[in-house]
Amino acid sequence: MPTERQLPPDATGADRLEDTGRGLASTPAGEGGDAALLSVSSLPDRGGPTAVTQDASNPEEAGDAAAVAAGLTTLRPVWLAAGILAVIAATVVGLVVGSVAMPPVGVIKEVLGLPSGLSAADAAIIHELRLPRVVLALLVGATLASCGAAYQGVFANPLADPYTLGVAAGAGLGATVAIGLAGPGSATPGYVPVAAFAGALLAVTLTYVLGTTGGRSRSVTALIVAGVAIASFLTAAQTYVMQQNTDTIRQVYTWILGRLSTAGWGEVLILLPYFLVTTAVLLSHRWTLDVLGLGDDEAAALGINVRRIRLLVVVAASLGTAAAVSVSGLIAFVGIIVPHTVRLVAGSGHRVLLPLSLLFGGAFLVLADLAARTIVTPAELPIGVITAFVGAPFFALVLHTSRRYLR
Amino acid sequence: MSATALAVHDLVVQVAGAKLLDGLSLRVEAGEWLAVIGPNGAGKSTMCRALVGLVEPAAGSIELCGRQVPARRIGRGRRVRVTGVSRRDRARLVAYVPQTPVVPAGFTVADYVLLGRTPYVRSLGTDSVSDRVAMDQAIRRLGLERFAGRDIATLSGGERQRVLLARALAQAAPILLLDEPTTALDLGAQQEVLELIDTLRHEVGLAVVTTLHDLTLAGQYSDRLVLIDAGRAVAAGPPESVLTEENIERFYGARMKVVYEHGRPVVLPLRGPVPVRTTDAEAG
Repeated sequence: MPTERQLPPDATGADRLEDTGRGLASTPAGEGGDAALLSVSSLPDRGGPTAVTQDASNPEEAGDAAAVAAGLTTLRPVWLAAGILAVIAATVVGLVVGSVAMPPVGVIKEVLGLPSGLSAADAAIIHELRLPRVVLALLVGATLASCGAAYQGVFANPLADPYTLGVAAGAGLGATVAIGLAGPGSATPGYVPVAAFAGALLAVTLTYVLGTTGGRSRSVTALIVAGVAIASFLTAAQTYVMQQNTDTIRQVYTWILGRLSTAGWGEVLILLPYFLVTTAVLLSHRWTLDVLGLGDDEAAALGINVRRIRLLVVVAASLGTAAAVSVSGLIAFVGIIVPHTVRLVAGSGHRVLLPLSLLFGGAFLVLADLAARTIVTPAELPIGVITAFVGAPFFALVLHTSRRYLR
Repeated sequence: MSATALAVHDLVVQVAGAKLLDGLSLRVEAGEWLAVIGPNGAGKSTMCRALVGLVEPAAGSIELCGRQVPARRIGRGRRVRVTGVSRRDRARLVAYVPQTPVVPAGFTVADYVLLGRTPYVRSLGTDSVSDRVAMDQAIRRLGLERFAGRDIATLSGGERQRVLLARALAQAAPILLLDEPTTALDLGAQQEVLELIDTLRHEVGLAVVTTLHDLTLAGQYSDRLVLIDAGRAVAAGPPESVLTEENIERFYGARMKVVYEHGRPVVLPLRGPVPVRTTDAEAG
């Protein structure tokens, strides 16, 4: 006998669709599959409470045709446009503001290759100092923010970032050892970035191995705990190395606090390939990272090779982080505040999160660098101080105003 | 509708030396509802995990829709490696709803249901139009239209269970595997969910396998029951042949009265001295 259930009038159009996805077509249930999908009235009535009837009477159903599609978290054009606009605006401000005053229109024309009317000296400042610095800030910010988002996704933990996983500590130790070996007085040796890489990869490997041993008991929490332990250990090792090489302590501190002041095109070129590779790997896992949010078991039951995906994403994010850290030092908070802010305003899915973290992360760091070099002119503040000083209260405000997040 | 959806033969699962499944065999036809019952630790959840490939069987075989999943030990350690049917193919055949699903923060109902399309999403790609159509249909079928944009975390237990069903439906697998779908639900929500499952299996022709603690619900809703104890099936058949006072006393160590309502067994607890389980007696 037919059930009481009435399809809403606007739902019949979609229900008439023959294609219910590639999967059902292969359902061996045969005629029990597609045919039954179309004839809801053929349902048997068991005499029990039929749940579906409860919603048929809902008055809100008039707008449902749009409601289902609208419920999906998508990268809305307005957010994409806002992100691009933020990058452009930050870039322009970063180029125009500086110790040497220049007309904004002239600066923009100069960068675009148009006749600008700037003096040769001013043009050189733009091309050799400000532009590479702004580009470096964009790349470092984009890398740290998107890698933070990836760590949080892959470990399904909002606290995961280069710091909690020991990646930054590993990079710090590597750089400290390199600077210590080079001895005092010399300029930053060229192999510091390489040493930072090695340290970062060592750290993330140790964290991964420690966090995944123990058979069935391994969990996301175990990984983070392992990361904290590894970070403490590596930081202790770094402190020891610094104590043994007191003559280079100041140099190491400068690096640890983070700075973009030595920026030239050289650093941009060091970072660029890693940025591209990391970004490509992370963006191509935008769906899979969402699936990992369901936990390891459910992701595996949905056909995902959890271990392989996690390893790949972690290695990519660690490479990106290490590259960023090696050219800019330890810049805290970008990997936490940018992704979380994006989640709160634009939605949680990685299809939204990763692209917007890249854009807003870059813009944020350009502005942070601007603050670092203008607040106490002619001196400079370490940019890590700015990101933490601005980032922590801002993040607290965002958390406080969002009940949804803290549910 | 008589095709065999699921056939399990002599399945053995060992974890850390303990045999959680010890020669389990069962069979489910397309469109049939099989309820798996048994005392705590009998191996119900382990069976579910083995069927979706989360634990590696040490011996025996699993056949999904006529496709053999040879349970051979390949690779090392706890790594699940199954020859024949790939992870993705297996996920297209079995949709699994675990007992305590992880609900990711900040996901809307539509986002969550769409994740059921994972076995069809291209490697390194993202959802296609047909995935969204399947998501849309699953949401409509479960009457969740007005919840589509809601954060799942804000839903009640019953609503959330419907969302889980929608995700499983979007997965478009012929076998629906639910581990204790009524846990933590109030009485009304329990019946609502089970009625929904029954509706879906008739509409779509799904084979349904549920583990259930509540023997009355198991008897009322399923076509057939399998009672497992210590990792093997000790009774199987229609509800009235499995849900006997003798079986319940023997394997659950419980004093129960079985009465019939609409020809199906209803299990009522009785006060009094608790009988000794056969398995406990053997172990002691």
